[in-house]
Amino acid sequence: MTTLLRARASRLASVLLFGLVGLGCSAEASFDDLADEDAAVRGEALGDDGVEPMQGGETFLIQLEGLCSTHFLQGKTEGRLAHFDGVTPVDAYVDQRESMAVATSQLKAILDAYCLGDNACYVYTYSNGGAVISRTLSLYDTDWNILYVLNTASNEGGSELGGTGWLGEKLGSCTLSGHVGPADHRPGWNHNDTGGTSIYQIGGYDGWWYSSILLPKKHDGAVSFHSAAGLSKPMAASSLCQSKSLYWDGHEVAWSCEGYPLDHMGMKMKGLCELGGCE
Amino acid sequence: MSRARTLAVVASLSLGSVLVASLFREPSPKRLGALAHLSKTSATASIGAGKEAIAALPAPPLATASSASEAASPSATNDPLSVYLAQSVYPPTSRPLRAEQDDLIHPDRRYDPLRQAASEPRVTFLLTADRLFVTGDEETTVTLEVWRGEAPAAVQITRAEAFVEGAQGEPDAPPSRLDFAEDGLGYACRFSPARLIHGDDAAFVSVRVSFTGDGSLSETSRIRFQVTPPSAVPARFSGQFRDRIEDGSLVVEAGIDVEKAGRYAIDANLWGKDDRPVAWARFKGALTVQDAWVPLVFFGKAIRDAEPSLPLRLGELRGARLAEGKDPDLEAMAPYAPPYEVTLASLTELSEEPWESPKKRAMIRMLSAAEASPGAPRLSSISLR
Repeated sequence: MTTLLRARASRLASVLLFGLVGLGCSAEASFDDLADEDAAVRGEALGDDGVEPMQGGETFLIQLEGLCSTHFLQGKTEGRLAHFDGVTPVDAYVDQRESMAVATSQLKAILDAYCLGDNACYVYTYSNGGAVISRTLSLYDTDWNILYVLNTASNEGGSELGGTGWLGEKLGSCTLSGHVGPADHRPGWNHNDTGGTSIYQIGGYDGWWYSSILLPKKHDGAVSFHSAAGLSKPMAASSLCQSKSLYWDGHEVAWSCEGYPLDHMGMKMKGLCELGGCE
Repeated sequence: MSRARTLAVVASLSLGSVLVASLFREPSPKRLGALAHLSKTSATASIGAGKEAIAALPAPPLATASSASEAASPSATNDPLSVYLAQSVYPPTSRPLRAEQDDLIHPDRRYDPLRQAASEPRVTFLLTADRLFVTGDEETTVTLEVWRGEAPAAVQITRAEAFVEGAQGEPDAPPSRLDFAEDGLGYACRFSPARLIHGDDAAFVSVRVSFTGDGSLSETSRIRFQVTPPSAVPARFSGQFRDRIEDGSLVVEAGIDVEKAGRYAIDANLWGKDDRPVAWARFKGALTVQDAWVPLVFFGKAIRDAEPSLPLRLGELRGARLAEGKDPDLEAMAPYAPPYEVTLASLTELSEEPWESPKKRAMIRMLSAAEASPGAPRLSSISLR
């Protein structure tokens, strides 16, 4: 298995890169007092002279696919790399066909390659990619420079369709599709330890008709709101916005409480477009 | 989708919303009563340990968000820097513990979903167990409950087996038979999954149960465990504890006998005298066989903000070693149950200051720069209460 992981990690060499403009994070700014006032912190961060205090690094957007995929552009739903000035998109080669262990290990290798030192990263995940980034941040203590994670249609809390065969039939059949349910993902790791990274969520509610038999309340056909929103236990939720105490630590809802009138496949690019990265 | 499954789905839909609603309702007192009854009973397994008391089982998994808990139409939004500043008042590995955090307070709890029988759409069933991770010779309890509509249904378990997963999740060796015992309103079996494992690595063990019942009811379902056999257990809690104040935080050190060096994650919760949750902490780092203590740093402000009654006690101590390159990649330690009472005499010994670190300063710089960059992604989050 070790050999297998190494071979797969070597695929990182084929990661796609577009444009190289830096954001960086290495300068010695002085913060003698981390003021409670946001404004004071912001002003100090930018420096009195208004000059950005970081030089030299690059900023990447890691795009991570979901279940039964090996990379973002290959998933069952069409994917595209986002376009932001100064941000280089990375099509993350992470094998989510076999096991969470393999996927976690491969994502760690990607974060090691792009998000250390003077570099900074955004991470965008789709579907089970939300579970993979959560597990990776929880198990490793590496000092990655991740600005934030945005999950769309996240399966971090597990899908009630996991193990029924329906997920595989809809999203692609693979061994892992039988092991992505709430009983696999929720007790599988400490979701509250995000390594200090903020994780944002969006979800869809145009569920496939037959999925309503198994998925509680609002869902996108593959995952329910309790998973898409980052709630710390499965519940029948009609809104992504719940009491703040019901979320895993470090998890937030982006843009919309109602979610989007899209099914699971339609959600794949939604977050990138909301960020302004679709052309 | 296969034709058979499609037919089953279409048939199930003909029952309409009543059935759908029944799947996702609040657990009925009758169901909870059934679980409580099961928890007091015993069962045997052919590879199990015989007639011992079955541990308390998890409650049915699904709750409904109350209207009060759904934050209606929050109007304010936050940018990523504001969110980070709010979140980083506490460090990533020690934060307040809330009563709602079932996942931390009951870390063993599984959330196997209620299933609808494809062969008989009015029938629902729950195949579950009392934990996901099984360590050493620990036993686990597997339960099956079946309902026809609202009423518990009797079934015949035609086949029940456990096996170590091999390629594609199929049995690596001939499965071992499990004997479920009828008890109360359901069926239960207690066994030690590690006895199936012949190697020295952690493994996935599956339990597969087939049952039949009135009408055309005929189902097979499966659940899975992550099992660390005795030879793979990486470390053990010694049962010794000590604590001190360091930099305004409470450091509880747990004694540990490390057999395998490596990267560990060790978690624990802190409780007040009145059993109110206070804070959680996590050690995440390398341990060697020379290490005799593992520090759990409970952040001062996280404790102060909870305003707990003293003495504090440590609970839910558990941990695992990351076995990189293996699958499963976690070797679990046996949880340590007895509580440890912390010697802290006064909350004033703890700092009320927010978390501060070079990493936090670097993150603020990065997020500030990103915010100032005109071409960067634009994200705003909902301000929840």
